[in-house]
Amino acid sequence: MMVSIENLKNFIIFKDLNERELLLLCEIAKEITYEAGIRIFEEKSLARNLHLLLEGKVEIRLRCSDAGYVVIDTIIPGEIFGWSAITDPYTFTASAWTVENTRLIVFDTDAIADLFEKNNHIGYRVVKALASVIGRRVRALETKIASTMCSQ
Amino acid sequence: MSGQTMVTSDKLKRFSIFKYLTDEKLSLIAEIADEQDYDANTEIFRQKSPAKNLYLLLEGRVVIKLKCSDERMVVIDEIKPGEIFGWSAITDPYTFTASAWTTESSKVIIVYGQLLRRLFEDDKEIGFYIVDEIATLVGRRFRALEAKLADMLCRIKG
Repeated sequence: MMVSIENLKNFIIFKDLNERELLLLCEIAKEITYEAGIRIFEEKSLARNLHLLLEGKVEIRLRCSDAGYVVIDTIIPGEIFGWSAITDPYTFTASAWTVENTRLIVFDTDAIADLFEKNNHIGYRVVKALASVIGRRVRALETKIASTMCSQ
Repeated sequence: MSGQTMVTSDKLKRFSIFKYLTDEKLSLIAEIADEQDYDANTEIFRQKSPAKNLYLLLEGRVVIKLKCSDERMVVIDEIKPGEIFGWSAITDPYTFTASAWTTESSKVIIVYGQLLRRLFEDDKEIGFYIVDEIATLVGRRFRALEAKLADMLCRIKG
């Protein structure tokens, strides 16, 4: 399904782009729906797509050595996940599962990398905003880990 | 903390975030950077302070610490030569959320954040290649922390 400019405007990583730039991104974006309880991608698999959550809920899970798993993050609408797709070494380190019926926008890794190479101004603005998003997630994790360490 | 010296393009080449830049572009970065020596056990920047600079470690060792509610500090990361720290200077909201301390005498390249961000705006090619590398580094840091947290949670669960 085609993706509209309005849909892309829901995401902070595109906040500094104008309509013409957003249109270029729409051309390479796809909308996908999943039912609840579906694995979107698997830990250690090649990261082929960047995912933006429009509706629903997604859990990021990591495997424990005893074959069980732990939920390390829950993604809500307006958030991005699977950004291993645009950062080296392009491999997912966790798996993503839908916990509700879910609607996503996905970008193919090669198509988005190609667009950024040809249009450095778009690449700069999107990746800078993405680095801020990842940075915020890093800080949230640091705080969680520090609070566990502080309590020991 | 003692004397500042000029930074050369050759020194910048030791850092992977500049790997796609030509000598000409590197010289633009060198113009907005200084080299700084720190004694061991010195605070380079403090948690919650404005993130004014990006730091590149040339020599020595730096630890990143977070404050507990009872004022104790816990080490959450260790920086080795060739690595960068203080990337909050590049990412919104430009505030340090942890403190950085030397654990040995250290030599650091300081890149002035405001001038760097202005350079990115003027030259989007430099901006794109550097923020892309920084996003990769921040992503790697995220994955390392994610694994650490998962390990803690798995142990609690087990």
